[in-house]
Amino acid sequence: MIGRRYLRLQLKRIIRLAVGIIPTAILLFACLAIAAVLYLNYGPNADKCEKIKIGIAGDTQDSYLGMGILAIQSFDDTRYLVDFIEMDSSKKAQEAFLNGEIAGYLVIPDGFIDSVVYGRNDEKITYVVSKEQKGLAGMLMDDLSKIAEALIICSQNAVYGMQEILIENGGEENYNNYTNELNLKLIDQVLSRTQLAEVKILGISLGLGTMDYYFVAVSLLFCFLLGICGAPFFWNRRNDLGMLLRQRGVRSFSQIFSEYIAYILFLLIATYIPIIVSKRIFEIFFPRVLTISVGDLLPAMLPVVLLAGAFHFLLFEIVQQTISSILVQSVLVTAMGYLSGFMFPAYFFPERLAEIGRKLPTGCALRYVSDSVSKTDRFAPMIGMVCYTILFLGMTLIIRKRRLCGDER
Amino acid sequence: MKDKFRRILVWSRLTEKRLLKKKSYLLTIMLVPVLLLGLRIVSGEDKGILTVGLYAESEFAAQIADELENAGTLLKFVRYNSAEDAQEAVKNGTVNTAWILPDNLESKMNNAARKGSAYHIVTVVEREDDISQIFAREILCSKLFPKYIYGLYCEFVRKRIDPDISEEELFEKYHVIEEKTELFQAEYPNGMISADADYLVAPVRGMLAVWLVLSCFGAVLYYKRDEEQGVYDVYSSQKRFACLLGTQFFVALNGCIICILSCKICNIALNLLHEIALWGLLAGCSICFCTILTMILGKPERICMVTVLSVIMMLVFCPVFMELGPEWSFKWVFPPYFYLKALYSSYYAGRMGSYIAIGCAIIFMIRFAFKRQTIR
Repeated sequence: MIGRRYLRLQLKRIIRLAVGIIPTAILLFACLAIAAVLYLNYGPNADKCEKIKIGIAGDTQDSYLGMGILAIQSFDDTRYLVDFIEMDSSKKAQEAFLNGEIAGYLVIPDGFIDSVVYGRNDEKITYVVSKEQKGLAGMLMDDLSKIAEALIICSQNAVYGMQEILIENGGEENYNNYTNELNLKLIDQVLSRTQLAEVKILGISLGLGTMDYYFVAVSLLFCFLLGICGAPFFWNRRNDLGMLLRQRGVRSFSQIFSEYIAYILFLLIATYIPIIVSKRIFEIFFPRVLTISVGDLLPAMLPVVLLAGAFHFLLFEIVQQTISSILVQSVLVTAMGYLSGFMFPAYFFPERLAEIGRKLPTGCALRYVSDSVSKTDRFAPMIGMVCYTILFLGMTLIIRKRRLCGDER
Repeated sequence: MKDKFRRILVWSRLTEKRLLKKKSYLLTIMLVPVLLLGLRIVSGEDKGILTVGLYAESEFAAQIADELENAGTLLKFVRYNSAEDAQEAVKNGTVNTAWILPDNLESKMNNAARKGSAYHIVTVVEREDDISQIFAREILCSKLFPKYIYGLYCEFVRKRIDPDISEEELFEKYHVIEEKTELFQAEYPNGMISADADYLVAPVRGMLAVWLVLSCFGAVLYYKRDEEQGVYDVYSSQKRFACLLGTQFFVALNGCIICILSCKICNIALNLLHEIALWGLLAGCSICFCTILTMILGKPERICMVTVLSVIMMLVFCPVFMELGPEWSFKWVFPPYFYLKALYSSYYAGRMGSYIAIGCAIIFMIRFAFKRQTIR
């Protein structure tokens, strides 16, 4: 009887909390939907693709170099990857770089073209990038410069090799004609080099597309971070009430069960409503961007909510201090989410780290929801999630029991 | 005045002592550098922004595959024994793309060189095309292209100059310039950036900045709970407000120390003075940001929700992982935005100063408005 009354009391408490929180949660997901819309318009996968902006400063007045840049911007496949912006001086390029307008810049020294044409290769193009907050742009630049080097050097070798053989064979009169002919051939081949590969696009029959993936990842991150919103529910628990309930026959298990049921109700409402709202926003503005359906996603989120609830319960049982409980929730969820692929896809990580990420609660949740939505085998992550949920609740029960017994003594 | 100053000092010491006495708080803040140390250790292992499934069985193809694997690019490679297996791996998402180098790759390249046009010599299988796939194909082509150009050169010489020239002579004349000649050199802004930063460690600074703001929110909630429990009942409204700021200050101070330590651990630290100045400015901005929101929202439940909202918005809109869209003014609301920009430009450090000044003015105005309301 008292047990049921305690459950009713917890439900009342959580509903009061939810009423204050749900409108803000809806606002949050509306903001995230706007962020995703911005990403679609300006992100790297947009039609009007925001490419890596690279400034070029230095001796671009050289007719060959000017033509070269024009050719790259007009015909070369890197035009889908990099936007070269000509700068008046290296100082202006540096200013633009420091203000975040460009991801890096190239400084072409005087006489660079002569050095390449005559095979001296004693002048070097300097590229200024940062390897930190500009993300991958700097690292891509390293690889792109190696690609450019490979193209220039093999072309130089072909031309100089031919010229040497020509001179040895006494064909000086054809020197200019043959050099021009081979150069033109090489330029033609450099510009059409990506035709070496035939590209077959399979489409996303299994697994999730990029946008679906990030929609699921953000939904999961939100669900796990909701522990911070649920904090007021846990702060007002008092040990003496727990002991009184114990004396009246409501065991620790019944107490945790009542609180857990109430908390799960809150998590379900606080997770489901924003997901439905943001998915609707997507359907209105970008009907074909998200292919997953709410009908598939919501049932898949149910075990995640149970797991997240158990995780929050355990953390709040271990850490009861206000500030520590908030910080520990955020640090653990962000770290686990990062390793499990909520921010970068899991394949960005070294194998060992990716494996750890996959086995974390957040990793199991991501795999389970992805597999459920894309209708592939989800047995293994499901088992992982069930084990974690039982483990977290079991540990919560043990800690609660010990605390109440300790206080009684 | 002297007495007042002494009392402030005592209160400060007690607040910091009260915070540091909590084992859970100490453990929580120490968790950050420990986790980052782990990340740094493991991030040095083999990794890539794309996983490429390679099928290369013939000797010539295997040579190109070896070159690709040893090139030290941002790609990670997995070898497959058949083209079908590689394609299947793309289908089920094990790899992002499959590069199928056919068994007759060498003869295909020679034929292409004879014809003077290389078309669809290898096959690339993808699930969807995007910027990283274009980049990866460039790496593939950069390894195939020199081989093709060599064939083209041989054909040209035989056709135009000497039909009987030997392979050895062609090879010898071709390699005038060493393949490892460097035409590009990297440079990093003066003293600002550690050159061996890793792309997995790169977002750490941004995440720490978000964490510092979150710590301030935590401090606000800590204060609110104390207030609910009557800890500050003896103080006047003005003193309580000073306590709110003081609590945030000490939490932010501890947070700054942890953040600087973490940057050092991850090898992304700038010089110490630069670090102290920037984290100090961020702490100031964060205190203003959290105080204004606290004054507007009032109730802890609402502050909790806005905390989650702010964390996700900061991760999305501030350049923690990538720069999203142009510089819209609404991004200026979030302190880590200026902080991450200020790493490169003292202009943004100045704007952080302005942020604090404007923040203080807003706090003053809100307090003034509430005071007037109370008097009426």
